Amino acid sequence: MRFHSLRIAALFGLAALALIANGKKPISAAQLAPPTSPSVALSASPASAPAGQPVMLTWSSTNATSITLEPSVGPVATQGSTIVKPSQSTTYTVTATGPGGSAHATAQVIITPGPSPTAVQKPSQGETTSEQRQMRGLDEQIQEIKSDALRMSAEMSQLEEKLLYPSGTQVAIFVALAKGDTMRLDAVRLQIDGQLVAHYIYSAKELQALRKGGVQRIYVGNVSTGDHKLDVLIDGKLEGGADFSRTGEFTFRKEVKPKLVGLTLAGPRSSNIPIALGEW
Amino acid sequence: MQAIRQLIGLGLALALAARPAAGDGLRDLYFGEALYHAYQGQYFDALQRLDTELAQYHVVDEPELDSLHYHINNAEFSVGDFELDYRMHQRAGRAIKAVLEGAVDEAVRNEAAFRLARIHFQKDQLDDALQALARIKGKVPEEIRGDVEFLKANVYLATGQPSEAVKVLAQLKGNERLAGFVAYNLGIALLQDGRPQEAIEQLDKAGQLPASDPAGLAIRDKSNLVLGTILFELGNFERAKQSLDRVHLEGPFSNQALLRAGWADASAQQYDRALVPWNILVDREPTDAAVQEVILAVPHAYASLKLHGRAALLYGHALEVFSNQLERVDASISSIREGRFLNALIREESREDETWVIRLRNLPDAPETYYLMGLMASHDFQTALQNYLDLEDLRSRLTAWKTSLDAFDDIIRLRGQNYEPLLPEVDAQFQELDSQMRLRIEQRRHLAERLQAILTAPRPDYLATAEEQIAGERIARIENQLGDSEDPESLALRQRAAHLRGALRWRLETEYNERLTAAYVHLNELNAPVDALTRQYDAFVRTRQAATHSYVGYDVQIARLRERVGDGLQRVDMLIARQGHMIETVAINQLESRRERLVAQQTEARFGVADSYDRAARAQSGGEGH
Repeated sequence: MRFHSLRIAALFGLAALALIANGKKPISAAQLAPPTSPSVALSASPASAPAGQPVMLTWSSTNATSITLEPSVGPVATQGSTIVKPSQSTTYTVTATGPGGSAHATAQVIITPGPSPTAVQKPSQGETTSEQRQMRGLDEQIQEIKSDALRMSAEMSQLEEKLLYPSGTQVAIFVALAKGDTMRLDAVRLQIDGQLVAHYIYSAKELQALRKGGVQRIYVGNVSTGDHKLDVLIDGKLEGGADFSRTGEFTFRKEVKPKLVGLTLAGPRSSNIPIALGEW
Repeated sequence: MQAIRQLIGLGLALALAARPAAGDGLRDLYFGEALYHAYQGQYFDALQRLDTELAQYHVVDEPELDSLHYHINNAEFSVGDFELDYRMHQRAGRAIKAVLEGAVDEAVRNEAAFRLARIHFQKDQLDDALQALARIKGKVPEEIRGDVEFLKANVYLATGQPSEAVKVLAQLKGNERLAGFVAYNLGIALLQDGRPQEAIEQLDKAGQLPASDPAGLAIRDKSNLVLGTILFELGNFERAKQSLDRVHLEGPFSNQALLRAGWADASAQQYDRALVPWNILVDREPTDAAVQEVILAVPHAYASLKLHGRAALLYGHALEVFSNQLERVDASISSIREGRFLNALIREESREDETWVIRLRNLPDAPETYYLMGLMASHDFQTALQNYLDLEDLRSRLTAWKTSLDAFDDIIRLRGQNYEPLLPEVDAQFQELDSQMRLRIEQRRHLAERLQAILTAPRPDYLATAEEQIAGERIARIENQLGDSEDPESLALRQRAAHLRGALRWRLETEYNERLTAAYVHLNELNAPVDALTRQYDAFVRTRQAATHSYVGYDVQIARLRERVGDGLQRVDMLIARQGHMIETVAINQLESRRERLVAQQTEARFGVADSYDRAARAQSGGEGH
C-alpha cells in the first residue's frame, strides 16, 4: 500500500512538472498550439466537521478564465478560499472554464454524526414537538380509561364474590414460600374433604414472584360451616435437580365469615416445616 | 440534553430498584397477593387487589386491628409504585400526595415528597418537582438520602441552574452506589456552568472510574464518549482519541465511539490510523446509523490516502449497501402502513428488556425495527408502545367482563327459577316451626322465672309431680264432697283426707330442696338442645337469606356495569385506533428521516464512485503519459 501511494505521489509530481514546463513554452509556440486545457484543484479543511461548523475551501487554477464553486457559493476568483458551513455531508465541485475547455475538482466535507454535547444542552422546556404533545394528550386519556377499568374491575370482582363465593361459604387458600427457600416448586395439589380442588403447575416467573415474597391465591371455593380436611401435596426439585415430594394433612374450621387458609411451603433442606398451615 | 436525559433515566432506575416493595413477616395475605402479581409485571391485577384492600382498611372502625395495618406505609407506597409501573402518573401523584398529607411520621413524609418530586421530574413538571423537594425537611431515610440529592441536582440541571447542581453533586462524590452517575452529571453541570476545563477534567475522572455492573459500565462509556466529542470539537484530536479508545468495544456506545475515534484521526490528517477503528465498525450491523456513516468514511479515507482504486471499489460497495438498506426501509414503511408493526407488537411475548421491539424484526412480515432503536431510547415512545399493549389488555378484560355479566344474568335467572317455586312452601313450614319453637322457648323462659321467684318465696307446691298434683286435686275434691257434715262417718273420712293431705305436704316440704336442685339441673339440661335449636334456626335464616341474596337485587348493578363496560370498550377501541395510528406515524417519520439520510449517502457514494474512478484513471493516465 505504501508503495502504491508513493507511486501515485510520484506520478502526480511528474504531471505537475509537465504543467509547469508547459507554462514556460515560448509564446509563438503556444500560439501555434491548440489552447491549453485549464486545470483546477480544490481542498477542504477540515475534511470533516460537525453540522454547521465552519470549513475552509481553498482552490487554485491554471488556464482558466472563470471559476464556479458549487453548491451554494457560485462564481469565484481563479484562486482563493471561502468559508462554508454545511449542515450535511457535501461534495463541493469547482469548475474551471478556459479557452482550452473546462476542468473539475471536488472536495468532500463529511459531517460528523451524533449530537454534540454543547449543542444539546438547552433547557428541556419548550422543546416538545407536536408528536410529543399528541402522545401526551393520548397518554392522559389512556390513564383515565385505566382508572375507570380499575374501578370496574373492583366492582366486577365484588359482584363475582357475592354471586359465586358468598362469605357464609367462602374459603380461600393461599400459597407462600418460606423466606429464603431455594427449592424449585413445580406443582401444588389440594384436596378438600377428599375432593381435588386445585392442581397448579408453576412457571419460572410465578416461582420467582413467590421467592420474592409474593403470595398466590391458589383456590377460592365454597364449603359449609364446620370442620374440613385439607390434603396438600407438593412436588419440586432440589438445587441439585433431585425430585422431591411432600404431603400434609390438615383440618380447618369454617365459620360464618370467609375463611382464609395460608400454606407456607419449604424444601427439605431448610429448617422450616415442609408445609405449614396458618389461618387468618 | 438527550445524553443527560438518558443518564437521568439510568440514575432513576437505580433508585427505584434499590427499594424493596415487601417487608419481612407478611401479615396480610391480600397484600402478599398484590405483590405476587406485581412481581410478575401484572400491575393491573396488583393494583386492583391493593386498591380493594386499602379501601377496606380506610373504612373499618379500628384499622389497627386490620392485618394490613402492619404494612400500611409500604402498601400506600406500593400503590404509587404500581401505578407508576402501570404508567398512571396522575394517579400515582395523587396517591403519594395523600400519604404526604396524611398523619405520618417525618421519615415517611419525606420519602413521599421524594417520590412525588421524582414523578414530576419524569413528567417534565420541573417547578412542581422543586416544590416537592422543598417539602423534604428533617429526617430523611438513610436508604434514599443519596437519591434525594441526586434528583435535586438533576432538577437543577434541567431548570438551568448548573451552579446549584455542581454544589449538590460535589457533596455526593462519596456515594458509592451513584458514583458513576454523580461523576458524569458533575461533568455535564460544570460544562453547562461555563467551566469547560473543569468539565473536561471531571469527565476524564468519570471515564476512568471502576465499574462492574452494566449500568456502571454504560455511564463510564458515556462519559468517555461525551468527553471525546468535546475534545474533538475543541480540536484536541489526540486527547479525544485517547478518551474514545476507552469506550468498551461491546457496549452500547461502542459504534459511536469507533466512528468518532476515526474522525479524530482523520481530522489530524492521519487517515491510515483512522482506518483502524473504522474497519472494525464497517463490518457491524448495517442498519446502524454509525455503521452507515462509516461505510462512506472508509473510502473517503482511502481517497485521502490517494488510493483511488480502492476508494472506488468501496464507494461501489457503499452504493450497494445503501440501495439494499433503502429497499429495507421502504419495505418497512409499507409493512408499518399495512399494520404489521402493531400486529407484531401484540404477538411478541417477551417484553422484559428495553430492546424487545428490536426483536420484532425476527417475526415474519415484521418491519426492520432496528431502525427504531433511536426512538426506543425515548421515554415517550416506550410509554406509547406499552400503553398500546395496555389498551389491548384492557380490551380483552372488558370483553371478558361483558361475557361474565351475561353469565351472571344466567346464574341469577336459573337460581330464580330454582328457588321461586320452592320458597313459599319452605317459608310456610318455617313459619309453623318458628311458632312452635317460639312457644317452647317462651315456656322455658317462664319456668326459669318461676324457679327464680321461688328462691325468695318458697312454693313447694310448684315442685309437685303430676301424680302429686292429681292426688292433691283428688283430696280437695273429696274434701269438697264431704262438706261440713258432723256425722261420724264423714268425720272419719275428713280425718283420713286431712291425713293424706298432711302426708302429701310432708313429702313436698321435706323433699323441697332436693326437688329445687333437680329442677335447676333439668332446666340447665335444656340449654344444650335449645342452643342447638337456636344455631339451627340461625343457620336456616342465613341460608334462607342467602337464597334470596343469590338472585335478588342484582339487576340495577349489572345493568349499570354492562353500560359502563360497553362504554369502556368503545373508548378503548377508539384509543387503540388513535394510539396505533400515532405509533405508526412516529415510526414512519423516523424511517423516513433515515431514508432521507440514506438517499443523501447514496448520492455521495455515487459521486464518490465516479470521482474515484476519475482520479484513479487520471493518476493512471498521468503515469502512463509520462
